[in-house]
Amino acid sequence: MIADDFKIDFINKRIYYGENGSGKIYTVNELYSYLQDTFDEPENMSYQIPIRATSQTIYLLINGWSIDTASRKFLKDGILT
Amino acid sequence: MAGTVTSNLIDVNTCEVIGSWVAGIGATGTTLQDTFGLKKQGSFCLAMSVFLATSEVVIPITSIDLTGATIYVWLNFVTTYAMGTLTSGAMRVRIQDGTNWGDWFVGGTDNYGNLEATATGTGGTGVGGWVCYAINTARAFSLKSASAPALTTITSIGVGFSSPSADPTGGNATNNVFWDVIRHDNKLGLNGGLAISAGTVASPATFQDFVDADNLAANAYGVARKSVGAYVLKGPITIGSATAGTATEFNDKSQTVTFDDALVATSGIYGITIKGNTTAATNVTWGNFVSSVASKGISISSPGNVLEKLATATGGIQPGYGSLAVATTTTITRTVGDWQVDGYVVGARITTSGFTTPANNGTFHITATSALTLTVSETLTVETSATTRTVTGVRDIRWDLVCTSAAGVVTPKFSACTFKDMGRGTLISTVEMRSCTVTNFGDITPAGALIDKCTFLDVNTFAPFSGIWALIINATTDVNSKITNSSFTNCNKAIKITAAGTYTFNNLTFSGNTFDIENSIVATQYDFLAGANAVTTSLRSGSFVGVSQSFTGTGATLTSASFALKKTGAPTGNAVVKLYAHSGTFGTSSIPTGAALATSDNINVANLTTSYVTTNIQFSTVAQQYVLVNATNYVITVEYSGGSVGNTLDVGSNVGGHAGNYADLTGSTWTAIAANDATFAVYVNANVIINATSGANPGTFTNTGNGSTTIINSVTITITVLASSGAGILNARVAVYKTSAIAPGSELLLTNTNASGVATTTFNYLVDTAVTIRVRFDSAGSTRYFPYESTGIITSSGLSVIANMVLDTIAS
Repeated sequence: MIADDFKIDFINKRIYYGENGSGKIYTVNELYSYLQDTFDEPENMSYQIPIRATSQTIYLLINGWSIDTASRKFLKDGILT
Repeated sequence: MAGTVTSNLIDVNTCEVIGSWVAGIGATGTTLQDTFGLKKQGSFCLAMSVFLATSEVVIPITSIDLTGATIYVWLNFVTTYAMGTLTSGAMRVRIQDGTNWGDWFVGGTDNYGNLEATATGTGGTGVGGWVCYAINTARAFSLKSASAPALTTITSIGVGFSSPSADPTGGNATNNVFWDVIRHDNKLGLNGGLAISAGTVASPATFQDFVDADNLAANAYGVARKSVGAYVLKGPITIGSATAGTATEFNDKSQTVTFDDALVATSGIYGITIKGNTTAATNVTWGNFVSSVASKGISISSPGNVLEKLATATGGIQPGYGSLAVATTTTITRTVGDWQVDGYVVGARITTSGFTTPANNGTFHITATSALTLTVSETLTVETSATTRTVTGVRDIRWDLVCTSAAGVVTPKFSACTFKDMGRGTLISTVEMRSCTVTNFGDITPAGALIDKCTFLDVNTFAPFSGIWALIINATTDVNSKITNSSFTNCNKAIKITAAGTYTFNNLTFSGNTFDIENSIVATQYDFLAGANAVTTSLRSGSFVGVSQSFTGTGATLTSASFALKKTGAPTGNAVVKLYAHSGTFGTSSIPTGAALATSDNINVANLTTSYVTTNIQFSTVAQQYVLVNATNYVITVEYSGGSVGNTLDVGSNVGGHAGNYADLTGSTWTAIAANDATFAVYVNANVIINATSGANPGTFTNTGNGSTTIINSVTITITVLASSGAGILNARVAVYKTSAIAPGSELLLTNTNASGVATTTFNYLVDTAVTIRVRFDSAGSTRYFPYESTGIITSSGLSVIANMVLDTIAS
């Protein structure tokens, strides 16, 4: 599951691939869908949304969120800027 | 005439004969002549010739006390072309005590209403006219003997005239100045002047009745006249009579009443008093109130702040003149005369003009250090050019509105009235005040009057009037169902509350006030022990963590409690005071039992000193305010579990002194010590609770006694979440945060929408609050929407936002 591999540091606004991740590569759309699903949970409503989609393949990190280069290696099929 | 007008003025001299009129002490009095052609009152007036001279004459009287009295005198300076200025003393009123004399300058070219002098001031054909001047003896003399006359033993009253010009006819013998009846108000203040009673519903008393009575030659009170459609008053009036059986029906509408610019005191002289008696009705109606609509009210005003030139100075009247230094004090010296001439009062405002720097045209407060010197007590901006500045004083003349109760038979009804530059107002419970506007005023005591749809604007806080509040409330019944739908703007401390209780503010709105509410209540010290603190209990973690004292309750609401507290070392954290039910034998083994009945606000122990100070701790919210049951024993405690060895909260107690007893807490065990009593006090009945309803927005308060104030203003936050179809979205997640504090757990609202797409909650409104609204519903397995975020303001009306959601067709 993507939730087991991609971690969210709410305090530092950082999304990263966990050290003990499965090694599975996900589409950017899967990451986007996962993040939206996560940030509508009650405990996460106070945090700003990290990502915006402009099309099925183009996505934008917003509100100061970041994903490090190493973690980006586990993403495919989309542009994430 | 429907109303019966009577005068409360005392005749000093009617000026019908020369009689004993003589020259004043140290003055020259020319030959007096009877004259009847220009008389104002009765059949004759007195006259003399004053050209290129100053003449003052007086009539001896039986010694009277004129302290604080207002003197009225008619003066007529026919040859206005030969008239000087007010400050030269063209027309004067004089009093003498047999040895000393004092003059008030009352008229001159500056203020003489019928002036027709030529541009050069000489050779004109001006004709003067009768003007009644009023001077209150509280005013400083314009000119006096070495010692001022004793107001308590005045033995002569008179007039004076001064002319800088010769008689153009060359004779200098023509009678050119005249005076008529001199009266005083018998020191009655607001009860002096004129009074009116009688009238019927069909033919009520009106303001015109005052003028009609004043215009009679036999009267010529000089108190009421009509000018340019407005009624002009130079003294107080009373409507109604305290005489048993005398009824009054006063009804007038769409009138303007103005108190004249005379040399009277700031307050206590001008006013309208409405009074009655217990055996006849007194109905006073100003304006119409028909079908719940107020109209055609009475507009009443006084001069209020009157600007007048006091001095002209060239340079140097500002601190640090000629340099960029800014000092906090400086001296302004008037070139000639007395600062108090024309009514300048110490502490009044001074403004300056003639500056090249706009910032210097400010308003300053001044304090007189002597009769001739003023010290600016505020920092001023430096003026570096040598321009000539004019210093202008503000004297303040106001009128009071006083309604006196007479067993409920006095019914004043004010509709659509405007009260401007009013002084203080004293109302009664039968007053009905609807859709009125009160501006530039202060300190009205409603006393249960009905006040609806009224506007209170600009409490005048400046000296000498020095108003503080718009309304002074002395009981819950003064407000509840009585004061409604009214606004308070720029009212300093808008509403002062002097009695504990629960008040309903029904659509009372506030803006621009320093405080919307002042709670001035001093709590009742119900029970206490003021000991010398011979015994100290040090509270800290791992040792004693509490001290208690038992006492017996009264049927009153707990407001606060005090203990003798100090610190040793540097303890940190908070202590609290708690109230418990009582266990054990009172005075011997009293200890707390059960959960705390009430817990106080926090005390930051770091702020204590190292010496004992009686420290009062508030129970400031409704939830904290426990109602003590009469004759029931309780235990009050102070508890602190922070600190460490050497860093303690110390509680003072004593050996004996109170009927209850001390106990201390270690861990969770209370141990009573029968012989000891804590230094403590319990305060009750100073709690004010404000229930704001119907859009009321009180938000700020100050507790100037030792009570507490709680504002409860529950407004509704409603977020409606809609799909593009307009249908409500079920189970959308909605959160609302204060924009200044968006963090987990700080939500004002956090819930899912109902089937109508609505999420709602209540909020205690105190001030407009900026909020951030978030709606998210983008979960796998359901219809997904892009996140929604917006901002809004929670106002006294609450907040209602519609969130239009857009389908997220990208998420999978």
